[in-house]
Amino acid sequence: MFYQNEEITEILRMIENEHLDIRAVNMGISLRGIISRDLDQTCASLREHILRCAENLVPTIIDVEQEFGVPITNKRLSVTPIALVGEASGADSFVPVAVAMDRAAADVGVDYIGGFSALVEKGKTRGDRVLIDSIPEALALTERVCSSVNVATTRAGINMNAIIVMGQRIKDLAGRTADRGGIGCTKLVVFANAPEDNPFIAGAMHGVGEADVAINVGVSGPGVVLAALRRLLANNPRCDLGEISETIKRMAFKVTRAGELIGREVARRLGPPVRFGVVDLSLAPTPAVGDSVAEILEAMGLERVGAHGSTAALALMTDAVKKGGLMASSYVGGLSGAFIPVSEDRGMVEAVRVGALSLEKLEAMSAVCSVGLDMVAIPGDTPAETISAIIADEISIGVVNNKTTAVRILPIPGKGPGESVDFGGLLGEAIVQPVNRFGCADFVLRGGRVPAPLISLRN
Amino acid sequence: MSNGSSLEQVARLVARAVSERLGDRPDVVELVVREVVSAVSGASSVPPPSTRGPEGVAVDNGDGTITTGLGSVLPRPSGSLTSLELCTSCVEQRRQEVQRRAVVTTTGKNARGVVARISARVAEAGGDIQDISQTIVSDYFTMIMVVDISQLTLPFSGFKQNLLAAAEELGIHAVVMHEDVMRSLQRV
Repeated sequence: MFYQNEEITEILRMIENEHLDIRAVNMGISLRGIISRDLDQTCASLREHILRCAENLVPTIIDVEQEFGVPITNKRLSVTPIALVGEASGADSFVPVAVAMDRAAADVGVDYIGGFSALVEKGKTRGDRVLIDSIPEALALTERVCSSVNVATTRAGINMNAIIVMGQRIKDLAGRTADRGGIGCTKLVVFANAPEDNPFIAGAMHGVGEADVAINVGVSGPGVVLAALRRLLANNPRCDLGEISETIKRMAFKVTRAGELIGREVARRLGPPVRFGVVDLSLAPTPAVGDSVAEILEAMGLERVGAHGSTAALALMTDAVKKGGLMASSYVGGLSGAFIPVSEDRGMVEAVRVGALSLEKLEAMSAVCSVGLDMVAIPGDTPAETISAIIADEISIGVVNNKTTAVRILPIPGKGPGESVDFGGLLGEAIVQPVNRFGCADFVLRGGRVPAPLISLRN
Repeated sequence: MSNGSSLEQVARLVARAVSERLGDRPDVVELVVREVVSAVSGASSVPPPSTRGPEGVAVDNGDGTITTGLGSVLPRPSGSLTSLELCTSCVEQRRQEVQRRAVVTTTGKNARGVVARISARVAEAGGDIQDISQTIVSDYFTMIMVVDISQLTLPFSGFKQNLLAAAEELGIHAVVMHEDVMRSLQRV
């Protein structure tokens, strides 16, 4: 036999029962070639260029999915940050660009397109300002467009002025989509140290250092890791943390190999100029039962995620995922860690519901995972300055620790702590978490640039 | 590596190791050894690119010599080798052929004729069953087939559809996937 029966049935079990899938195949498309002085021209060329590059993307992915038998959940696009693409036009609003992106994404059959973005860690150009000001209207008006703004890097420090503005834009966006629970904010991320090859929406963009077209893959796999961990614990209930780490590593290896295989095959079939970019190792949960990062931490022995010990458990898990995944792929990139999006993870939602998981604990956990405060619902009446302060806290963790952090925070219009809103699908159900009620506006509104930390001086 | 004989020895060892994995092909070994030795030691002059064969494919020069994919001119080997089988290109091609396999797994309540029905569909499509194993645990039936699909007469998607349809008629569950998935996940 070429393979042991156990090896074959293991893979079937992983796919059929444990939610092994490729979470996202993302095609990054450079738009540097279509920049024009006329915004209408830019929009027309943008749509044409995306159609040309991505017309075979979805059929190819479906073929690969069929042939290899591994489900590919999301097919997505990302483009060069639109602040760069639109700037030359001198336009006062980039909303038409977002509309063109939305149509192009619909035409090629993808559910999201990332890259309505600006990189303003050190300062803003006119194009950056126009983009940021266009975000609320653009995201309220479109279905598929996602936006991200990089407000800090370890090298450049923190642009507090940008953070002040982002707090206001988030409030504005929530208000404009109030009829749908403020869903607009699920498509907007504020970053520190944003990666330029991230395949995961909403933060995906195609960075300026990238080639013409790249295929980046995000793997999944909390279900596979959780099931393996439960088997380990059933056989050996008193196993120590070293054994847990080892088990996670082994599973992360397999999950990542699947991503590498599919990504390379999709890129190969699409042919030049499409190239395979990276595999993002992140464990990404879904609202499905058993596909939860929180449940992995709870399987290790925490009663609920958010209990003391959660940060240590998450650190252990993220580290093991990286070590296993690193060996499985030649090119690892993107965010590569673990996601803890509250509403998208059933275990996290449950922990919030019973009062185990606070905003503060999430913030602490984000120091050892790949993103940050992700899909966290807060009261709709939270002041913009408080949102900015929450962003500033989270961004500081990223800047000082030389890692990516992000904030995707959802002020839910008209809802207070404990109330919930259901976005449906992969976005899940969000329960509003209370925020600290003491003032922070005087600090935040000082603005300016927070100087880069000591760790930036590596040369 | 200036010593020609030790170079040849290394080339022979490597070529043999590769050849054995492809199914024993002594003729290929000889050819690869000659080609690698001549390419590395520079014994034969490398012709200008215009006269070279396309990447990895050998060209019969018609004068009793061939130009290999690496650019060396060598005497044409005797035997029934076709031009495609010459040199490195045939190694790549055979690797591809060897790898074209699918894993077919069916599970369900035991029913009469499961093996016959599924294997008939495989054969109809031009698949070659290279390995098969089946177990029945408390009336629950699992059959795993490794099928060579390099000679399929229909596209993979059609092959898969036929098998899934056959399984459905039998009231069992079938999964058809490319062997690369097994290799990627289970082999380092």
